[in-house]
Order: sequence, then C-alpha cells, then structure tokens
Amino acid sequence: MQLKFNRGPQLVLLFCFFLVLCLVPFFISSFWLRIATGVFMWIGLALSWNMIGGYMGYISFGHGAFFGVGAYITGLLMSHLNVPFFPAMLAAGLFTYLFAALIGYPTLRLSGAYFAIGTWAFAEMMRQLVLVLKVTGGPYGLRLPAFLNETFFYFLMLGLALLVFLFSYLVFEKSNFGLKVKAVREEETAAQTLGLDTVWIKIQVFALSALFPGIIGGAYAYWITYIHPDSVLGPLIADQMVIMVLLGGIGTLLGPTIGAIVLYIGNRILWVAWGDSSVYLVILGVAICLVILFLPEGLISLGRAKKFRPGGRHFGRAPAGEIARNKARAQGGS
Amino acid sequence: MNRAIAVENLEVAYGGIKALQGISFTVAEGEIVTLIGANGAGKSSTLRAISGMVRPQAGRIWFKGLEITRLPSYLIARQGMSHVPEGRGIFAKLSVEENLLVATCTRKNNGIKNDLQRVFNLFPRLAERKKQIAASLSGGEQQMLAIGRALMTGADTLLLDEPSMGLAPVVVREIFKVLREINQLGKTILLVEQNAMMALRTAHRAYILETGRIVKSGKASDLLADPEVKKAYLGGR
Repeated sequence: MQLKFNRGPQLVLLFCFFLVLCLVPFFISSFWLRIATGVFMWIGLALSWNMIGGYMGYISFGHGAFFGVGAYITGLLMSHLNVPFFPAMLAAGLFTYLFAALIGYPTLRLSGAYFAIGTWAFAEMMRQLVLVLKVTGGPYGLRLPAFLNETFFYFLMLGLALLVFLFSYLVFEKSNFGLKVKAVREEETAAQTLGLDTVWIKIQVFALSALFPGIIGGAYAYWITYIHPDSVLGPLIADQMVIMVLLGGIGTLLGPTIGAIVLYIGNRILWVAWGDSSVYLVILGVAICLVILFLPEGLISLGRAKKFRPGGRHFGRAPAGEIARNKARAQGGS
Repeated sequence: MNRAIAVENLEVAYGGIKALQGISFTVAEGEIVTLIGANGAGKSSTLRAISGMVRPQAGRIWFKGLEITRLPSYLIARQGMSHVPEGRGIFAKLSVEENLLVATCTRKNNGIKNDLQRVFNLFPRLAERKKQIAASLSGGEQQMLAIGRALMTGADTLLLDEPSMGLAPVVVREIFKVLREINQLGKTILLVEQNAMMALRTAHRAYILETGRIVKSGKASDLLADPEVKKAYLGGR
C-alpha cells in the first residue's frame, strides 16, 4: 500500500491550511497563542493514546505516567546535567519508549479491565515514586531553566502534533504494520494462526504510543518551566487523553484530533468563565454520557453519517445499524 | 506419500477434564483427512493442539518432519500450516481485501497478486465484495473469507474446524466443492466436521472420535458404508 497524494486541490488546501497555522502566532494575542499551543499538545497526546487504545484496542490509563516521566527526565537532564533542551526531550522519548516496552511485556498479557487497572496502578506507582524521590524534588516539584518565548513553544507543539499525526497516518493507516495491528485488535487468536507474533506487535504499539507522550511531556515541562507530581503525573492527564479520543472517534485519525480541539478549547472557555472549579469535571462527565448514548463512534461519525443516511435521527449509528442488519441476514444461513 | 502431520499419544486437558486421552494419527501430504464425532469428542481440541493454540498435556506432534509440540502458534503457522478456527475468526472491521492481505504479512515470497486472484477465482463472491467490511458479509461468505485468508498465508496444510457450522445446505455444498478444488491444488486438509455425511464424502480417510479417543478409522468410503457409522453418525442412512 502506498501513500496517495495525487489530488492537486487537496494538496493546495493542505498547504494553505499549514500556512495559516504558521501565520497564526503573528496575529493572535498571547492568551490565545497559549491556548493554541495547548490544543496542539493535546492533539499529539490524544493521537498517541489512540495508537494503543484505538488501533490496538487496549484501554490504557497509564499514559499520563509516560507524559510525566518524559517531563521529569527532560527536567532532570536540563536542570541537573545542563543537557540542552532538544537532546533532553529526545532522550525522554527514548526512555519512555523503552520503559513502555518493559512495562508492556507483563501487562499486555492482560486484557480488558485487567489491563486498564494494571496501567492505572503503574501510573499511580510512578506518581508516588516521584513524590518520595529526592532527585525529583518530591512534592516541591522541579524547576527548569526558563525560556519565555511563546511563539517557539507554539511551533514546537505544532511540529510535534504534525509529527504524531503523520506517524499515525503512515504507520497505522497506510502500512502493513497497521493492518497487522488492526487484525490483532479484531481477533488475536486468528491473527496468531496467520503467523503474526501478536505479543511482539502489542509491545511495539504500546512502546510507540509512549514515545510521543514522553517527548511531548518534555516539551511541556520546558514550556511551563515548573513541574510537580500532580501537574504532570495526575490521573486527569490520562483520563483526558481517553475522553478526547472517545469524544472524537476511537481508532480513527481525525477523531482524536477533533476530540482534543473540542475538549481543550471547551476546558479553557469554562476556565475563563468559572475559574478553577469542578464545573469542568461535571460537564466532562455529562459529555461522556451523551457521547456514549448518542454518538458511540464519536463526533467523527457525524460526518460519516451524512454520507450514509442524510436526515437519519440517530445518524451517528447509521453504519453500525447497516452492519447489524447484514449480520442478522447472515445468521439466516447463506 | 510423505507425512504432513503426525500425532502420537496426544493428551489435552482443560483443568481436570481430559478432552483428549492419547490419540495417534497421521495425515499424508495431499490428503483430505476428517475427524468426526459428537460434541465434546475432542475434535476441535485436536486441531487446537496441532496449531499450538492449546498446549498438550502429553504426546508429540510433528509437521513435515519437524516436532512442533511446544512451538507457539505463530511459529507453527509460519511453517506452512493455517488453522481456520470454529466461528471463522474473521477481522470484522477490516475489508474483505484487507482480511486477505493481512494473511500475507509474514510471507517472504512473491506471488501475492496471483494468490489473491486465485482466491477470488475460487470464491467469486469475495471479489464482488472486496471493499466491503467483513462484518457485513453473510455467514457463508465469512466462511469463504476465512478459508481464502488461510490460503493467502501460502500454507500448504489447512486445518478446518466446522466449516459448515450454521450455514444453509446450498452454501455447505459450495464450500465442500471448493475444499475439493483446494485439495486438487496440492493442499493437505485436516477437516473437523459434525456434518459427517459431507465430511466422509469429501475426505480420503477419516478418524472417528468418541470422548477423547479414536474408536474407528479407515478410508472415508469404507466408513460411509459401515453399518455402525451409518447408525451412529449418518442417521442410519
């Protein structure tokens, strides 16, 4: 399978879109620039989680830990060993990649809720570890060398989001590896009988899905300049990744992107309106219920539904309904 | 003829329940051999043990002269054996074409395009529906897809578990007709079936299992004429 970009107008449109994104920092206020930077960061994180949660079908609540570990490794390398930012950030990504492979080896033998609980426990363990270690500053946190250039961080996060997007597209949507991953997700036993080493595939995907949160965590630490266990290792980070993907559309490329945009901007608007309150969490809970009830395939299915059944009442479910009817027909025999 | 599969004193247990109690049999290259028997006789367990999906408690298994008793299933598959499990195990959200192509991911040799065409020739309905997602296929089409996918691995030996299950008689006849064609292409087939009549009409040799033991074996045509077999498995016909 090959990447096909043979449609001229699409290329032009993509180029224009990219150009607009590059020009944005020069036309918006610093407040909105920070929000835009945050949006790209969360797009990167949601797409990373989508690799294991969406393409592989393993719900991980431990991805906040990879983000936090990336942030701390970058912070430690920069503040204690004076390592420049980019090598420190890449080292953080490499570490989380290898670390995830190590964690994945035992945990990926679990499935369903057991895997989710296992990863959640791992994340909590990392938070507790950082809290008691002296080198990380414990509950007092860690301060990084300050670099106060909002435009730099905007382009850094934009670049990272594009990198994760392109990586997901090429590796999970357009390669044989992506096909193998989806096959394992659908029927692991059948995949084994076709000669696929499913344990190895799952470990690779888990490690890849941890690589980018590690890098993005490093970028976030340098952007914020001060990190502590609750800000980068709190459970809400992984929860938000999961919800963004579910909201947008799990296992798709555009779904997590849309979910991250909607949820992060919504979060910031609520923050402006009510400050740091629990209203956001209440609305988040309601949003999850609504999505599960009316759009089980996420916001992305609104677009697809239009194609299948214009004007349908529960249009988000149109393709699934089609499948169910065919299945019912299949049970009839032929 | 060379032996494709050889099984010696195979025992399989699930917890304290013994599913297989020391069975031995062989399948020669190019043969269709069927295992028939009632529910719980151990037919599926035999296939699962051969393809590495369950670990035998005792006994040994050889595939083309290589002992595979303790090999993981993906390595056994890479030796040229493909198991079409009961329930088909298709990749529901992938398209028909993707289901077939994923089976070629571990292949090193060329000829994938030719094999794909050959599968489409055997099952023209799959060609018509190649862009459709697999979940939207009928039961018969899903079975064709599962067999086609096994062929796409390049395997020379197929283990088929209840290919007729839940299908209309007309579709069952179509599937068995294709199995004979596949065999004529040189593939070895070990077939597990509850539809004893169809299985015995299709196979060269057969083994009859009862509660984890082989109680009868021989040429399929001889077993078809055997009064005991007729009474127990063919409804007295």
